[in-house]
Amino acid sequence: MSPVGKNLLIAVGFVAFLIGLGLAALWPRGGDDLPQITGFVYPEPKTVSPFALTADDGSTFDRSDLEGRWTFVFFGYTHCPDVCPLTLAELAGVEQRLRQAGVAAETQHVFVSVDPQRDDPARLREYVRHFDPTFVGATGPEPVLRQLTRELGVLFDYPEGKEGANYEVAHSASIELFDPDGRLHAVFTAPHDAQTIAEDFRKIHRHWQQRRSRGA
Amino acid sequence: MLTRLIAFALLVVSTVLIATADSAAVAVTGAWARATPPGLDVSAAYFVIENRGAADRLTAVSSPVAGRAELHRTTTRDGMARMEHQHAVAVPPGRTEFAPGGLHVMLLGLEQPLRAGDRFPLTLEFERAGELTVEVSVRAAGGAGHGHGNGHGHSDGHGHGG
Repeated sequence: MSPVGKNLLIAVGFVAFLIGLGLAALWPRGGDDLPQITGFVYPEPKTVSPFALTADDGSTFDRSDLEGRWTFVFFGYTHCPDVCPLTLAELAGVEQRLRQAGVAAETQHVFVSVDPQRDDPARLREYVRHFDPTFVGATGPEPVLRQLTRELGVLFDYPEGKEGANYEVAHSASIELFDPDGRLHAVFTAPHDAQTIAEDFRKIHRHWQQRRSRGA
Repeated sequence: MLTRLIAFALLVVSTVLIATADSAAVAVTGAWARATPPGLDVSAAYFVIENRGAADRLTAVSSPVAGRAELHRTTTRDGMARMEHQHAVAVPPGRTEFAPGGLHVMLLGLEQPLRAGDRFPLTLEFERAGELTVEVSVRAAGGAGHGHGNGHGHSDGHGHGG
């Protein structure tokens, strides 16, 4: 290669490098520096379609009940001996920590039963309050639960022939977090730990406030 | 008559000795169960098995407080938690942990609600070590968190000969 050709190549390479550097600086960084949590934060919080469940006091629990504060939602069933009590106990720990930090008033915890056949509102009420008196239970007809969970990326599955009193329901182990706009904001993945979730929540909360104050 | 008596006595002594020797190879510690939320007759029990002998298998569990007790394992695959009924659980030399989110004894048809502070017996049947009855203490539902972060660093260094 001639010396001119070589110099030209170096020059072109240098210019390409500068362009790359400029682009890297201008490029919106990986979803606005989303908080790193045990789970994930949606770059764009997700709006869910309207739904209507029944809360544990018999009232309707719909999309508007997710608005105005942060909502932790866990899908399970009361006859679940291991994962559900474990998760609700951790959520009770989260609530306790948020209470101590003075932000509990901005949050609520909802346990949605995907086993409406056995879990009526009265049973749910007793069940959730066993873990924390502020917890709310809700459930609804299977088609409503199917649609809602599908939109949230949550799964549940009944065994074949679940007529008996003793059957197990397979279900997602994650905890869904809705922001005060009622949109799916983040997902905490199992195994859950109260301390970690409480810290992750505060990160998400801070980030959300900063984004708000910037008018984003 | 006397010979038969002596023979019988020897038989008893040897049986007891064998039983003791075998079950001594397996120790079960820290057994606890979760208090039942109101209106429910199911719960789960957890413990740690320490096997100082040869590989064994836990084949059955039972308790007078429950209509049925089963060996279960919670598995979380692709974010979905399922309970898998285990016909037997391998107990290799060393430590086998029954803990929330994993192996557990599912108690069904509880005669009475389990309340924090209660104690009840649980019998474990091992293929080699035979039957072993342990006392299970009931903890408040929120008490599940106590197990967290403990037990690490204990998990190895236990496989004494066999």
